[in-house]
Amino acid sequence: MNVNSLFFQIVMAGLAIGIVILYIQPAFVRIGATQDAIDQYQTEIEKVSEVNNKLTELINQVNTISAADQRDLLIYMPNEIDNISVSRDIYNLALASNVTLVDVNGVEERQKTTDNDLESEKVVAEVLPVPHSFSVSISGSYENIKSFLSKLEQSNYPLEVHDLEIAASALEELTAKMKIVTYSHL
Amino acid sequence: MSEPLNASFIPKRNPNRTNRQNATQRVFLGTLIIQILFFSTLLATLGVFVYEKNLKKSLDSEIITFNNEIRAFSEEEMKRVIDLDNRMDQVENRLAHTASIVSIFEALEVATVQSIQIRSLNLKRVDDSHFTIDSAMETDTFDSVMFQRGVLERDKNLSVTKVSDLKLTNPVKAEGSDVDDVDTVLNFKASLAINTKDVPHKALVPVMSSEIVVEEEVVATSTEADSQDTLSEEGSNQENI
Repeated sequence: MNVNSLFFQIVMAGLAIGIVILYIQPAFVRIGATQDAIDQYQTEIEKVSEVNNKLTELINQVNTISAADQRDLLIYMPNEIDNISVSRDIYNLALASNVTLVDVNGVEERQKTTDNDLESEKVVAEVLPVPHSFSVSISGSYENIKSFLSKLEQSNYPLEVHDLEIAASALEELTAKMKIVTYSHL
Repeated sequence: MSEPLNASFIPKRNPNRTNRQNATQRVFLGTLIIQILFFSTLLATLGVFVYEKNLKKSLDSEIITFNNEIRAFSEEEMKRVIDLDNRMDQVENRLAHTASIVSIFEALEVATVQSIQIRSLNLKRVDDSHFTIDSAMETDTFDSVMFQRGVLERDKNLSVTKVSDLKLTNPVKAEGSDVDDVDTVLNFKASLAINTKDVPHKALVPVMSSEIVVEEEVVATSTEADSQDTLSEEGSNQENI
């Protein structure tokens, strides 16, 4: 068998072309895709590592907050408001200020949300705290009412007076109706 | 006697033998190119095969690293951090908009002239940065009303003021009454607007000496375990005011 024969030359050339077309060219395409995938994975690994590092950094930062401070934060902005507890606090403040607590009740202001509203509510909840209102009526002298308001302001969680109506009811006696608003995280 | 013709030791050239040709092989350029092409293709195939194999190994390695990185990410910790961040943002939001009603009262006390009596007062927090006050006032002379209006307009804290609904009540002197001097009553409404920034909350934090602070830190560390326990009771612990 003569390797220099024309037939053999044609067969060799055909084989070479066939290998290039059927193996090398598709392999190049596969290699390109694999290289792209590797690049993408490397980029994503960098991103995930960055997030992990940032998270570790933040966790370390969170861990530096003392337990007492975290507890105070939870008191100031609790997950939910206990109406009875807040009413009791308002009652105690009224007692300490020598004013008569005529009435206190929690006002349900939050609308019941549907499933469709949940997502938008979640977004709002992340930005603004949820307000909870209490309608309060007290009576007492001007100084005592002022003392009551002052004690509200010194509370270890927000008790904001939003609407206040003061009127004279009897000699030296005033009645004050107010809407007190406190906030929860969720 | 004649000698045989081939008796000589000198070899005789056979005249019939053809001249032996030199063994030269002709190599065509096309053949060479085809052979080079063929063997190059084989080598390239081998190289591509090995390179592809290595690349696949690298890809597998990257995938494993990626999965490990993802596994290292703690969703719970992330939620914890986000929750704390949101909570602190909300607290910051509320603290940035704190206002003192007592400060408003004090500003009102300063801005109310002696001869004016406040009959009723309606205070409304319009939004996080504004209060409005509608105050029903009473006096006995127009001069007092005008003076009061001037004082309110000049007040720094009670920024926008409007005096309206002026109503004069002059009781008719009863016939046969000996009283000469019957007081005129002037009622009017003062509408005020207050910016919450003008009436900030005054925190009553006692000033502590450095020694006390150090002492407190020691106490805090010793009771840290107790504090950690109370953390789980989040949500409804509005106490210790």
